[in-house]
Amino acid sequence: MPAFFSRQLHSTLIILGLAGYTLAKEMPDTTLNTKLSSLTESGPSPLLAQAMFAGPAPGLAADSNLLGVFNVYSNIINPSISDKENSASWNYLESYLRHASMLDPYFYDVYRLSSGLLAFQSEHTRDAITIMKHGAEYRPWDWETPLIAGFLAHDLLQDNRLAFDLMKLATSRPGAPPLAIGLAARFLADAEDNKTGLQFLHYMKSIMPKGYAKPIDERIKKLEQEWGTEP
Amino acid sequence: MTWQVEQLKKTYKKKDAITGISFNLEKGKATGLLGANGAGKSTLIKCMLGLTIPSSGSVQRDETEISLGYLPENPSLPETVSALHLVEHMLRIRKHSAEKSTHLLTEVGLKEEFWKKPLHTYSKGMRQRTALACTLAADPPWLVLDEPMSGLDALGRKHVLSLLEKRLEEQSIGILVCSHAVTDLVRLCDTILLMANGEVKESFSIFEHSMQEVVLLEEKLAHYNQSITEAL
Amino acid sequence: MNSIWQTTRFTLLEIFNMRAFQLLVLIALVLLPLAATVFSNLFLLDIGKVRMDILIAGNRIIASLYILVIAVMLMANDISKGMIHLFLTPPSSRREYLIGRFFGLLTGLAIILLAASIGGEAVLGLTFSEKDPIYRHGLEQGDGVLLALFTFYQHISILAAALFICTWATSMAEMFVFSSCILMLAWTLPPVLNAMQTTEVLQRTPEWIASLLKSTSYFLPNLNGSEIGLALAHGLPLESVWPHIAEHTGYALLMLGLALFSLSRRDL
Repeated sequence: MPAFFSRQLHSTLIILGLAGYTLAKEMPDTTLNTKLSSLTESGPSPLLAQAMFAGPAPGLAADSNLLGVFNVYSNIINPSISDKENSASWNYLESYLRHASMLDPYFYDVYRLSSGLLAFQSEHTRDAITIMKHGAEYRPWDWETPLIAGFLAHDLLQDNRLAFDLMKLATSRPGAPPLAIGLAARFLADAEDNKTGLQFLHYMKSIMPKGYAKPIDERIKKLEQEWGTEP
Repeated sequence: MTWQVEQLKKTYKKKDAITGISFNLEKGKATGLLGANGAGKSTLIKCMLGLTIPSSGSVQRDETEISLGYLPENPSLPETVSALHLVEHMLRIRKHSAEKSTHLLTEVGLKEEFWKKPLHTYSKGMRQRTALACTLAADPPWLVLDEPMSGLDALGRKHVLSLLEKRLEEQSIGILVCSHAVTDLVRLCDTILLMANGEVKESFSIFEHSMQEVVLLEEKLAHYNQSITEAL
Repeated sequence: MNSIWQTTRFTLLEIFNMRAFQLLVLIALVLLPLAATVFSNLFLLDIGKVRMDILIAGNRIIASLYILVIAVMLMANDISKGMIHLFLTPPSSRREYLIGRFFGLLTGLAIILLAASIGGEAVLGLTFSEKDPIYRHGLEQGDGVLLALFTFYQHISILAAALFICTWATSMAEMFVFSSCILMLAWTLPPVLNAMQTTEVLQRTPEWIASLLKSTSYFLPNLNGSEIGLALAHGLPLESVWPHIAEHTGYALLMLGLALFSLSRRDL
């Protein structure tokens, strides 16, 4: 092979590599500023790097991000963890979920964990809803994700406009229950109903695997203390 | 029934590897190519076989003779298959029955216990014998052999020379053989082309296949080599 | 035709006797399904999907390794070590030799992926035996075969590209490095192109580069089949199949044509 062509090809490869590196650097995780104590819990790699590495199998990269979520959550439930580390862990958990949803937007476990874990962390409620909204756009058969996201927007963010948009999206999906329509109407009218809220939380708890329902339980407990009513 | 080479020339990066070579090969006769390393023997053979594309000139052969046997210098063989499989393949590709493979392997002197073993377990001599069996597969009317005795011991050389002489006599094939071993060439060939610096310097007819002819050829070869060294 | 058929047959014989081939079949048939079953147990409910993801990645890695370790090495031995001299003497022509090698290598790939599809179907069968239908996740028996078929199809063009490289590269190292580059580009280029065409990045990109990116994406739509992989893993309708097949057929024909042209002009 001519040496000239060989040099050209090497230069092209170097340029491509640099371009990839620059792109990866251009998309930093600005939310993650605190390093965790162990290497395995140091947060996900940049999204583009993951997508490039996964190539034809982005689903597997999403799966590995989900494993990252489990890892970080096991760190969060550790009672000896400091507040700073707890906060950083939640940031990492959000990043893992966001990346998983970007890599494989059809993956339901991501939305199950976004609504069941992340949404109940007050700093990350809006992030959880954003992730779920992204998933809802990719899953046109799914009414459950926008319904849950809508209720969370209403209940935890008190953003009834966003809640209505999501609930409306849920009602447009095949098989959506009448509950979605009712809720959409209520949110539009900016109405609140304690009993509906608690019923909804119990429903969500029922779809989460055992061991991952702690944040929902805490929320139910808190609401019951505030309202003093049983659903 | 000839193989005609007309003004064959091959240039690599503005340097001539062979320059305007012409000669004829005849059936029933063996022609030798003798020359020092880099004289252009292998390039000439490859151009004749179409493995290297000549810069100019022509090679003409009877088109009805579709088959041709070529033994490259230090032949590289597929490592994972056995000699039997390889020879069977060479027979099949030349549209002959694969049953002849055992006969061929016996003819080249490869021991039967090795026939079904993978080629990576073979010694250099055994590989050379296997490659020769591939070359002889389907009785091609022309044989082109580049250093056929390479890697063979004295007994092996004698065996292969006898085999080629037998083919030459019984099947009236045409042989072009390239070697550094002057003795072997003189024993087998009717004509020897002395090559140096990409040219055929001299065509030497062998009449007696004697030691005098060997000595004479060696002297001529040394003379051309010395001329090239001095010129350089 | 006889030469093509005989070369195909001999290529298969060579491949079957290679340790690397036997190892890849073993991985496809046993280790990959085992890894899929074990790894998926770490997940919550979308277990079928995770198993399918592992099968997708595994199939692709096995096919890529086959091209690098078996196809490129075989061609490199032929061309750079001079083994081709043995096969190319008349009546076998360069064209027949290359087409025969191509079909032989393709059949070898098909056999490995057949093993992978058997392993994949076994994993899916195990998934369907789970009592809870949520584990099935829209998957159907037969998706393992479909996956192997797509993987096979995607690698026809890559194999043709590797053969093209082998017809002009001068040494085994060159053949290996350039073929690895082709595999790497086919693997990583689509996500890079997608990322470079997001609104955020495009805002900071000069217009001529943006149009260059668009035209590149136009010629390489879904090159690595990641969308098809996701659709298979989630039991979704395979919408982008036909453009994908047309794209890879085009590349395969182009690369094979270039390989034939390049080999016909090469000094061996």
